[in-house]
Amino acid sequence: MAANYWESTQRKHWQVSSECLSQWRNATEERLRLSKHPNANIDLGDPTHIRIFLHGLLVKLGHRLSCRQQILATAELYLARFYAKASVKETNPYAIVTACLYLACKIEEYPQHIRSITAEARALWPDCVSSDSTIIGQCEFYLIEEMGMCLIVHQPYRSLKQFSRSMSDIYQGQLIILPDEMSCAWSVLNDSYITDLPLLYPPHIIALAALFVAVLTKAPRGSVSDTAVSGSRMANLADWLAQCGADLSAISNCVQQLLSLYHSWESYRDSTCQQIISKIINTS
Amino acid sequence: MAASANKYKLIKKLGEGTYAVVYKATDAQNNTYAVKRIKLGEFKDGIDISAIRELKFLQEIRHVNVIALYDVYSDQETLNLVLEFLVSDLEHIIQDKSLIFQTADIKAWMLMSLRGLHHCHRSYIMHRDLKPSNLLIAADGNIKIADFGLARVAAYPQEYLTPTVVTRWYRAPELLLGSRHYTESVDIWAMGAIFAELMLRTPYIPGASDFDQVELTFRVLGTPTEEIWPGVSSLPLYDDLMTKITQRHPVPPPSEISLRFMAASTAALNLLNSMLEYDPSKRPTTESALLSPYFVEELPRPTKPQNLPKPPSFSS
Ligand SMILES: Nc1ncnc2c1ncn2[C@@H]1O[C@H](COP(=O)(O)OP(=O)(O)O)[C@@H](O)[C@H]1O
Repeated sequence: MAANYWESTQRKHWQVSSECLSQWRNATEERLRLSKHPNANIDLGDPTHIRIFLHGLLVKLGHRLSCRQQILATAELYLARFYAKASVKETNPYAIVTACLYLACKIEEYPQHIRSITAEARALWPDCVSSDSTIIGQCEFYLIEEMGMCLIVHQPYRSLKQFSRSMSDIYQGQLIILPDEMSCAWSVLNDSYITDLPLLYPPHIIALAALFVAVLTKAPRGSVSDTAVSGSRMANLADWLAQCGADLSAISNCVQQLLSLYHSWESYRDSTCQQIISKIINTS
Repeated sequence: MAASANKYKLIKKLGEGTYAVVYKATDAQNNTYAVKRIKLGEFKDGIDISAIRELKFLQEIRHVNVIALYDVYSDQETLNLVLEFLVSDLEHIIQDKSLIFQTADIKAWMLMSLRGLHHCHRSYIMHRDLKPSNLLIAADGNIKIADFGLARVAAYPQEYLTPTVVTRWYRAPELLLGSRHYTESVDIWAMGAIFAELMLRTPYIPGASDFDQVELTFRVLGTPTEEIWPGVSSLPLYDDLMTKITQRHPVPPPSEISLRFMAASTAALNLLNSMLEYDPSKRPTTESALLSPYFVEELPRPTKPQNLPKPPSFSS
């Protein structure tokens, strides 16, 4: 990835504390209330469910455009940044999702014509996206504006690969990340964009947390000896984390948030969210 | 992050590019800036990808030899980049025949440009449009690499890149032959062509068309063969171009090259020749160029930026 994470705009401007995030969100709610926005009092339900819904929209459009993972991840982070500063209630999320992908495609050098991406979005959601592509152009502008014009993002995927390599070097085969665990960690990273983690922690911490979650959930259950083996694997992993001087409390925080995402996912219903969003689009 | 619009006062229009209008501006402390206002054309086509690239890279890069982006803001639905105000560029300096260049001056311009480029390459960024008019000059004489509208992150080996980059006269041979897997070494070639131009005071390989550029490159540096450039014959346009260009030119011997650059030292010629190697993998990196005898051993030392030749209009 371009440039160095430690000197990046992501670290300087877009890695914030959870207090800061709640402050932004409270300020947005306050703004909607004071301006008597027609949607100010709509109940969005579980905020995680709305994020799962938006993530679903983005992945669907991304696949339709045959976007690489990297483009999707960039668009996901744009979406997270945008809704850290603005509320779903004051926007058309379908248009915002489309604009995030439109911009991410340009940033990752896979440019799409604005009219064709609008047409693809309309093919998926004919009632929710206007055929007027200037709306996507406007959303792109607001998106860039809300992001403080910081466009390069750093992703955790590369860190994940590096860790897995360096681990097998250090432990000479004793602590190899199994293919199963690796692909599980990969999809945990995909899901991490639904949470606030990418706004709170540097990519390598999220990568380590995903690895931890993967080893934890892929651990074999059943016979006593299996548990002993996986127990020692967890111990080795913890040992390795401590050795590389990683911030363990940050990692454990991330692990908690990821686990609570999966917990919340169990009660997720697509249709409920869709109804809420339709209501928002129709009044604004 | 983003400043407010009224922090900067636009004084006068400096010029207009493809996707932006540039103004001279000042702030309350009376510092001078160049404010680049990106045209949005009522959002019909989205924001120009060159503008996006410029914004994207300049936000992340900080180096004395790369143009500084001090601030960004939006107003009246326009994105504004607050840039370092620069008084001239290397093209103007080269063309101003009233200026005399010393060897040490050329060394200073090359040194500063390569340092800026080194910083880009170290950040995995290829510039892809280096030419004298994109090497701007600050009032204190420092070179600033500008115009990142064609820049991109270095590609993965399997990724396809477009060969239609770099202004023709500075375009590396692999681009002329349609390569889709090139590297940062295209920037090194361009710097080589600029180096030659600084010594000659006229463009080294000024092709009149894309086809002519190939022909002229071959005439000046010899027709590349598999022997000097392994893999050349499998480049996309090779067969086609070779049937059209019937005349074969031998690679000129060093004695002939040194006749073209009468004032150049051996160390300068060695660096020049290496930067203009046909085989991209044989060209130096920015680092090895900066560590070449031309910069680290040979005298004279490069001129200090503030003592470099300046056009009379130059005001600091
Ligand atoms: N940093 C700067 N300082 C002073 N003048 C500038 C600066 N950047 C651009 N300009 C002026 O504005 C004109 C247009 O700039 P730009 O949009 O970068 O043009 P182009 O598309 O030709 O590269 C330039 O030709 C130059 O005269």
